[in-house]
Amino acid sequence: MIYSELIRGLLPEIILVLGALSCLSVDLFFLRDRSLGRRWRISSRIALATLMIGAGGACLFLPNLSLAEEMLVIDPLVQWIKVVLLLLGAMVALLSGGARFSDHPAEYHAILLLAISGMTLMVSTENLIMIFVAVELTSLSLYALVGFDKRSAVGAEAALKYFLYGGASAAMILFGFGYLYGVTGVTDFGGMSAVITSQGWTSFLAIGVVLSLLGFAFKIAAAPFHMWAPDVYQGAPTAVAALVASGSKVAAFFVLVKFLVVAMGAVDGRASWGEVYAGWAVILAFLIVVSVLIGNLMALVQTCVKRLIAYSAVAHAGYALLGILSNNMNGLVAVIYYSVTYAVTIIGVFAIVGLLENDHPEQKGEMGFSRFSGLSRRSPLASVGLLIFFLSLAGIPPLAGFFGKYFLFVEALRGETGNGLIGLIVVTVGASAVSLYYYLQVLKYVFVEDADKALPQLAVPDYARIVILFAAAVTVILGCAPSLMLEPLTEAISMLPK
Amino acid sequence: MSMDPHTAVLVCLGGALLLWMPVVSTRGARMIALTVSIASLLCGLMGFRRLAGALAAGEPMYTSVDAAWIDLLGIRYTLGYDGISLTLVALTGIASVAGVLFSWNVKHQVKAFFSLYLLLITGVYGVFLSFDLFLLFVFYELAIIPKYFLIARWGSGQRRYAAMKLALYSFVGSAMVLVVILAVVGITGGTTMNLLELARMDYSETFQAWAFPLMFFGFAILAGIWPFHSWAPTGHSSAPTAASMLLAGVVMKLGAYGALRVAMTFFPEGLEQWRPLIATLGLIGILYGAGAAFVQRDFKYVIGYSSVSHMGFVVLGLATVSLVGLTGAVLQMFSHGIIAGLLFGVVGRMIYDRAHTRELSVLEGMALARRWPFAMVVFVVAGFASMGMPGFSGFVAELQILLGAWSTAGWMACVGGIGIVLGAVYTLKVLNQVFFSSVPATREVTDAEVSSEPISWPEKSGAILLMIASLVVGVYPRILLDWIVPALEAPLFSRIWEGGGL
Repeated sequence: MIYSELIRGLLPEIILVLGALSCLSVDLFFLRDRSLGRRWRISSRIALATLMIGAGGACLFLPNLSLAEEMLVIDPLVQWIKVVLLLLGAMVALLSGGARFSDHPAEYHAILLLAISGMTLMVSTENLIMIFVAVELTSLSLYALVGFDKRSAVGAEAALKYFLYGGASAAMILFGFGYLYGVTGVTDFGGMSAVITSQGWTSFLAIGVVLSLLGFAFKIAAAPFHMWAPDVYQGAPTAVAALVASGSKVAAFFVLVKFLVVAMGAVDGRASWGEVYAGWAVILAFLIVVSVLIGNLMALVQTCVKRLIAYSAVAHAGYALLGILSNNMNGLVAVIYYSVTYAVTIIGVFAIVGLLENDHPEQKGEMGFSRFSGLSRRSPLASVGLLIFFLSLAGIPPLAGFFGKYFLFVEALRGETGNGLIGLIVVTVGASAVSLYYYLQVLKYVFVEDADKALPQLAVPDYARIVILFAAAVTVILGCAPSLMLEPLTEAISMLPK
Repeated sequence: MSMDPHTAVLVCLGGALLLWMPVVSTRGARMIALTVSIASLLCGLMGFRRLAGALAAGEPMYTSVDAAWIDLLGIRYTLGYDGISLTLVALTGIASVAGVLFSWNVKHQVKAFFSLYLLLITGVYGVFLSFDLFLLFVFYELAIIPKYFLIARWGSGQRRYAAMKLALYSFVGSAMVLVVILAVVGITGGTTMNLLELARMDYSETFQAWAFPLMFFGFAILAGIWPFHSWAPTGHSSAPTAASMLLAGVVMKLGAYGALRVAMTFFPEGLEQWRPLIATLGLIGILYGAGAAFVQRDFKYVIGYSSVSHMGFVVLGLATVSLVGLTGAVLQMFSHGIIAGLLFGVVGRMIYDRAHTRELSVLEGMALARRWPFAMVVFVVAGFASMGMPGFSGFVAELQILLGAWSTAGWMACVGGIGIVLGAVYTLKVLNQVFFSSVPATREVTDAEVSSEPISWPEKSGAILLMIASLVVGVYPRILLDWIVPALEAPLFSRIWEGGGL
């Protein structure tokens, strides 16, 4: 039977868990009496190597695997997204290499690997139970990582907030899933889809869908369930914030799209202006409008760059949800393109924020705009990198963020006949026009404001240089030639079993 | 790679990237910028030969490249040109060469300055040449960010405020355009983004009724249409000389070009409905700009408001929806681009960089005509051209716009005529005040405050280049009209005439 297949399908996760164990044991047996910096470096390298091997392992077998009521589903698309998640994780592990905030580097990296294995599991299942388990594996690891710097009060507060909100959202997801199981009698997407197609939109189904959607909204930090995000972005160690903002979002979006499109595709309803039918599209439309408005307007008044990024992330979650409204596979491609390019960009941003933080470790939590003044002179690499990342986030062509948004908007409109969603698009585009202001505010400090001439050159260690260069290259190249990513994705989707 | 307008885009982009290389020296940066802008001007001029061949073969336009880009959304990298594109490409080429010459004295971060400058020009060339709607929008937005940094970093006065205002106005305008582009894609299914094919589609009248104004005004914000003009005077005045020359000279034309090329050709019925309002706004812009220019105390603001007034003529010309009016509008875009370049060159580079003040009352006592006779001569020429004196490009353009307006409604032509008179009034006023005033100075200006540096060769050659361009077009307007008219008679614009009842 299937044990060999199980091992094949779970190879990346197995590698990650082994890597986590070796992180712990190497540190325990060989590095106890070495300097802290060395221990961080070695643990980070082990984690990095594990993630790269894991990415290789994910590519190793040509899959088309569906085990145990879709508990484990591996297809080309899943394989693709797993590799991406592992690479994002590798970038985060690289960033962690320069940190010194804790005496437990091995535990930190082991938990990091577990969080990432939770994410890869999350995308490789089409069963409610497994989704819940994987989401919890990721979340619990992330709670621990956010509060990992025990000396930081802000970090502890952030971790507690994240845990309380996350716990509530997990409860909601579970409650919702319970209803869904009660209505359909199955937990796998294929079975649910068949039952729901014949039953239609019932009130119990509505409760189940609404609750699980709201739970997911917590995870992707869509407003009005975003309250944890600013505190976590500000309080968590920078590399962890990067992971929360990147990998965990990509995974959550992927699951959410699959859940809505594959399992619930029949009851999407309609959110057109003046023509509303009950279904999940209505809830999504609500989340989108609230997210883009709250995210962008709140970002306008922030004085801390990390909180600004958090609020802008809320807005970006709103944009990405637009792609799901199309309720088809093209929309899925748009969401993946957007969330992946966003993740790469945001890791780049956090790499630069981390550099500035190391510059003045004593004022870690407060990342005021003035910290960025004179950056263009202190480090050309970091300043140009930040320019590329922020302009991409603002949606300036020819960077990836622009095309991603355009693609999402187009798919949302094409999904409905007769421009029904144009009102929603107007709100979103209008809100995104606002966003240029706050990104330019930061860039103004970087390039325009005169800085204290005495400030020394900013030290850019190799690991940060690699992450910034890679992220900038991806942002530019995928922006200029989106087909590089779209073609493999559409090809992978065309190979899906129907 | 052959010499063709589409290579101008690549040459400028390449130049912008080259300037980031650490090996390039400050002096080298200037030479690279000059070489690149001259090369792209020549590339642009080569287009006339290609287009002549295409016209002889009965094709109204020439397609330079048409390559697959993003198949999934029907987006292609399509660059081509007709007479309108080429007129504006030529303008961009001339203005960009002059701009480099007028910024020869930039000392601060020269490489970054010219890099952003070339990036801005890349976007401008791209917009004028794009025949794919998505591509056009990409280039259109590409031009926003360099403008911001050029003004905020190298500008003067309230530069940060002006730069942010300009960037936000531009971005809001392009967001309006983006909404309509998306709606068009939603209707057509996004199988093609080719301008010519999209313009052939039928859009319902209710759709056109809201899509046209959204897109037209989205573009027209950048053209400085009243009442969305207020970014223009502040932006132009705070910008460094080369950026004001480009902003007023070329970037404002992006807006007018987009309105003409996209909004008007896509939605002729919407145009028909909104035409009276647009014509009225154009007229208000003409009069308001002229009036505001008259009362300014800052020399650069005078020129800034005069741009609003002159762009009002372009808007009026577009709203006449007659062949002669549209021809005039395109010609006015060219003419104003040259003249605004000259005026900002004199005010920003020749006078402000030396006298360190733009206050008219202070300049009055400086006897500038004796200090820098060359600046005086250039300003007299530019001022006359700006007033619409026969023999300069402005005359032909404004005359045609008024003829077009007359055919629409007599009173429009009359009001526009008043605008020309007001133009003469404020131009002569500043001319007299700055150069020929015998009033004693309101405060004594010491020689230490005013640099005695003579007018340098780059300034002279830049000014002469622009003056020649204005004179040639003024004396022999057919040099451009013979290209513009066939472009307007092409099938792309045919539906405008049907809607316009002409």
